[in-house]
Formats: sequence, C-alpha cells, structure tokens
Amino acid sequence: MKKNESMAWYTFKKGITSENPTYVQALGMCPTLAVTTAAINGLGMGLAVTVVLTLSNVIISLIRKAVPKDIRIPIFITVIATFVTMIDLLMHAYTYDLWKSLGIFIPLIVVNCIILGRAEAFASKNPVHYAALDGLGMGIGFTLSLFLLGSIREILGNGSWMGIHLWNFKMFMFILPPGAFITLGFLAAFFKYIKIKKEEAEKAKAKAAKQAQAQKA
Amino acid sequence: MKDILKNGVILMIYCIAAAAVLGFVYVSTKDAIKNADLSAKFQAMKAVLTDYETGKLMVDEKLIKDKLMNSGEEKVIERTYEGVNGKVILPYYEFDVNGKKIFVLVGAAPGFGGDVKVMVSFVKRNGEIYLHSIRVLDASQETPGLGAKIMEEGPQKRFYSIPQSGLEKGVVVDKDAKDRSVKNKDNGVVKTSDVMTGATITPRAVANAINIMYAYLKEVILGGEKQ
Repeated sequence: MKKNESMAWYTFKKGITSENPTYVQALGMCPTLAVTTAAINGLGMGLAVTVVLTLSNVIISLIRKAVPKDIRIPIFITVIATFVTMIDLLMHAYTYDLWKSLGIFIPLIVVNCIILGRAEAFASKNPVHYAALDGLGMGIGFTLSLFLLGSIREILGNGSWMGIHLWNFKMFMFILPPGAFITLGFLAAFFKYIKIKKEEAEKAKAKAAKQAQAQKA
Repeated sequence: MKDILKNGVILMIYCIAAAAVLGFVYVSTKDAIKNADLSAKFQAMKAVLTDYETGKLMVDEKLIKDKLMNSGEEKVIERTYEGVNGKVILPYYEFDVNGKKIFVLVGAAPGFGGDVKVMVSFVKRNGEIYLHSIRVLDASQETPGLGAKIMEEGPQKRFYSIPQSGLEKGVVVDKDAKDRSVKNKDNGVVKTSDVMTGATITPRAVANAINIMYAYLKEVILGGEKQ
C-alpha cells in the first residue's frame, strides 16, 4: 500500500492488480481453466463469482461478531451456498442461455476457494464497507482475468472473439485443456515480469532520491 | 459438551435462516423456471416441426403449445442399440396432419463428456417412416469449438431427412461407414467429417441417439411392445 492512497481505494484495487486472484494468488484454478474456452463464458463466470463474492463478503462481515470461532467455516459455507443456489435459480429463470452454457460451474462456485478465502482472510475481520469493496475488487479482478484468458484462447483456438468470426486460422490446442495451462502460464509470467520491472524502477527511483539527498547534505 | 451444544444450536439457527431465504427464492422463481424450460423446449419443437424447404410450420403453433402444456412429467427410459447405452426421454409427442403422422421424440446418447440430448421428428406417411429433422438440445459437456459445434445449424442440417432404408441400416457418421458400399443417406451414412473436423464422437452420439429413438418408435410406440 502506498502512503498517498486511501484505505478504501487500496482495498478495492488490490484484487485487480497486486493481489489478483488468478495471476498472483493462483486461487480458483478449476473454473479458471475449465470455463475459459470462450470470452463470453469467462465473462459470465466472472460476473457470477463477483456477485456471490460481494454478497457473501457483506453478510459474513455483518455477522462476523455473532459467529463462534470453532464453527466459522461451516457457517461461511452455508452463507456462500445460499447465495450460489439463489444465483443458480435466478439465472435458470431469467438468463436461460447463459445458465445452460455455464452448466456445472455455477454449483461449483460454492467451493471456489476465492470466496471462502476472502471470507476467512478478509470479510470476517473487517467492517462491512471494506468487505464489500474487497469482494467487488477481487470479483472484478477475477472477471478481467477470466475474460482475458478466454479471449486469448478463443481468438487463437477458434478464430473468433465474443462469437464474432475473425479469421480461419485455428489452433485447436488452445481450446483444449493444454491450451488453458499454457496460456495461463504465459500470462502469469507476463504479469510477474511487469511487477518486477515496476519494483526495480521504484527501487532505482528511491536510490536516486537518496543520493540526491546525500549530495545536498 | 456445553460448547458443542451451543455451537450446534447456533449453526442450526444459521441453517434455518438460509433455508427460509432459499425457500422464498425457490417459490418466487418456480414459475419463471418452468416457463424458461418450456419455452426452450417449445422453440426446439417448432424447429423440428418446420418444413425446411418452405420454412413453414407443418403443425399449428397452438397445437404444439397445447401438447407441450399438457404433457406431464418427464420420464427417462434406458435403451441399448448395438451395444451403445442411450436414453429415450418421454413424453413423446404425436401429431396428425393431412394423412401423415409426425412423432417428436427426445433422446440422448453419450458423447465426449456426457450425454448429448437430441430432439428428432419422424414422419410416417403411406406406411413409410422417415426422419424429418433434428435439433440438438444439449451438448454442454462437449469440447467448445470442436464437439460443441454440433449446436450450430450447419452440422445438424447434415442429418436432415434420412429415409426408412437408412434408418433400418442404422445411422452412422461417414468416418464409421467403412463397411457401407454406398455412402449416402439411403444407406444411413451422414457426412459430418467436413463440418466437424476433429470431432467424430459428438456427431456419432447424435447418430446413436437417432438409432435408439427410431428403435423405440418402431418397437414400442408403433409396435405396441410393453415398456
């Protein structure tokens, strides 16, 4: 956290950048690898997780003082499972096509470790507005990650993007499981590279500032 | 002991609250879910009952709706065709139009990742049965970009209109048709290898489902065999 940032902004932002659930924390890999065969599936899954994550973070933060320590995990899972079942029913009723294409992965949101992870590590220890921002940030970070991964796999593997035909060049491997691992690996390496470069630049800056100060003195 | 009881009671209270919320959501979405399922089925039925040469419905739209509304609960019957396990999903629908009978059946056969569910319309005219058209209802477990392409209209159209001679020999995709001298629909061969490159298992599942449904139509619905 930088000094000039507000706590709220940092809580929201960290899920998208410095603590991105997919590329930095490597959480929730099962849905990440399985649903990102097309950009739209990644987007749909990401949004469903964002809604569940934000709502469950809010509720868990609200009840955090009424939850005995010994049984906190079962209670968190109950809250999460309730929201997931609600989303499943609502999507079945009102967004039938998306519900069908996400299939088995909606019920699996219950055991998505991002949601339980944020409940345990953040929401159960922080006031409700921070918990909501954390959920929203993590959810958006997850959605963007999935959307990016899905876009790359769809463009390379199927020659299309968001269902729009681009060209006839297709590498089937990218929509099969190996393509998921390879793309994820390269993306994680790329983001790590950016992070290292940024840190180096900051260090150099700090060093330069120190030297300038020393010269002045 | 006291702690365990206390924790148990607290957990129970949370579960009761969750159940109450879910019960409320279930009741308030029940009708919408039923409508969404029915409308998906209605769209599929309209598609298989459309004459693809003229683009007109062969059966009155209202009649389809009526049959669908009064069709009762779904029932799954396991059937085997030449060693392949599949399913016929009842109820089936029967329509009488100008001297011909149209049967709409739903069936499933295992594809690459799970069951591929297909709706088929068979037409019986002058004692001859032929397959009119098909609609793949569910291929969500197939590989996207490969097997899942079966959801597109192009590959499905390859199955349109298989005469009785083809159905009797058993429907196969062209990759499995090494033993058939003439590779056309009269011999039950459906060409899919050019539109479904790299995915033979999914169209094969569709072919199997068609065979299972045709056998069911012949033996049970028309043959009067007891289930």
